[in-house]
Amino acid sequence: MITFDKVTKTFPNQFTALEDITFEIEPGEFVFVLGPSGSGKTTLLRLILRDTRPTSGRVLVAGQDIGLLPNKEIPNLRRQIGAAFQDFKLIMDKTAFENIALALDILKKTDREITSTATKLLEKVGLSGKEHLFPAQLSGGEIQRVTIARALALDPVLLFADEPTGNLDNQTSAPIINLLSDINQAGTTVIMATHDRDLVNQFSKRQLHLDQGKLVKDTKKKKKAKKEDKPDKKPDHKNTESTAPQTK
Amino acid sequence: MKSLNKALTNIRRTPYQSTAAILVLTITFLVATIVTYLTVGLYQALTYFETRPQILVFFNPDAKPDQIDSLKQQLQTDQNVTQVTYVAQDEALDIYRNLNKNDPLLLELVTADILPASLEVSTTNLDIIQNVSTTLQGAPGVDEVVLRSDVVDILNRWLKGIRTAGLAFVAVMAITSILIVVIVVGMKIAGKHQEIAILQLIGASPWYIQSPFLLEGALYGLISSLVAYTLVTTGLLYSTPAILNFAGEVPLLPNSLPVLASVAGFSLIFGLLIGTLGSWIALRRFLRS
Repeated sequence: MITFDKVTKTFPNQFTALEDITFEIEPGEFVFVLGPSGSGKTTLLRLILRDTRPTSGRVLVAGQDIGLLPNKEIPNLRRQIGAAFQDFKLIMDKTAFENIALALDILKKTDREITSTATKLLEKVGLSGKEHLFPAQLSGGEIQRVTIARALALDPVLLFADEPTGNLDNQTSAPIINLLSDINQAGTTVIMATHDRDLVNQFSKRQLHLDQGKLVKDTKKKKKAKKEDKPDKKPDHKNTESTAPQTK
Repeated sequence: MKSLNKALTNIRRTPYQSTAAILVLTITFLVATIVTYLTVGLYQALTYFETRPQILVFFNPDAKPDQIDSLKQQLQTDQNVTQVTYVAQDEALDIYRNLNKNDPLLLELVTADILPASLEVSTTNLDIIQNVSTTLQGAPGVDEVVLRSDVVDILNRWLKGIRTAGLAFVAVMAITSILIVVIVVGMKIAGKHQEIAILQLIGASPWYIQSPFLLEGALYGLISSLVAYTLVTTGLLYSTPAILNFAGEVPLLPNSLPVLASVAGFSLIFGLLIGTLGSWIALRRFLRS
């Protein structure tokens, strides 16, 4: 689904946001990208959206090197990736409904389809009855739900949520993660960037740990390594298993 | 259709900017429409005079018919002469009566005897008029030779002058109008830069983002040109009797349906171009930054 192949991103002010990052995310996975502020989580999202290009290395989405994507194809790429941004990026003079409708309008849906889908999405994120409220009239958790609903409006194959619980307390954060889990269960690949280690540890999902732009830990690799270690031990394990009935 | 609705909403939500843009563009199109009508009117008058006999040969009252016939035949054999028409004294009186039918006093005073017989001569081109007239001056029985090339020359100069000055003025006004649209649409783009950035991030195509602004500029142009055309054409039709009275038989008035329709089409296309070009420049300028 997503492949980062030795990706380094250095900005014009010589700040290196990501350095030699390599990982792969399979379709249908739920991955936490964990790291403190400034560790490169948002740059990761910007690279996936082709909002910026890697200084070196390749970013592949569905097997396609998006660094080579012509500019006219970028809108198509972004319509396949739902993004819930850390700073929400909602249009403040549009209501919750209108913000979601905008994403559907971009997909050239009819007015009837837009009304029906936006209403369903608001219901899905638990905002029924608040569709006519403006972002300024919603709480932090509710605004985050609107951004998720807008991202889902694109019916994306991948949902990237950048610090969706960043400004929320634990009580408000859990339902957001549950919502993302539900979305993942329905088949959408979900990447959630967060700095909240405690929150992440409550869920048994794959974790990519970033620190100062470097990938310091990938729990999938760890599991893989453990699995790879297993064949050496397997015979012993098999032996013990096979011997067990005999002892019985 | 949605883009058009968005453009209309943009116009409605910034009434002062939109009104300023429409007013400035209207002045441009007022000037352009007036220059167009003047040019068409003068061109019609020029064509009229060019197709009229350019030389009038008046005979003495005692000129003999064979002298007149001889001169007529001589002219008809000239390759540079396309038409020669003899106007007898009675016919001249009819023409005079027709021209002055509303003034009985003038009609009472004039009889056929005091009006000279004449020949109306048309030539292939205006350059040889002088040669032909020189030949005619000394012909027997000829009293006076009148040339209409002077009128044509004057009209030609007027036409060139109005066309040149008008085009220069319209060009300056058009540039001013384009800049006004650039500023007004540019301000709106700048005011929506966050929304545009969000739209780009969620996959909106460039056309989706740009079309409402392009349409907004086009609407400024269309509305302004329509207002200007309506004002000038209404003024023209209102002053038709006065122009007819002034011009007499010369077809100075550009009020035929094909002319009115052509000017309308030209105005709307010109408006559309000015407005769209202004928006396009604003989009290039502000979206790039």
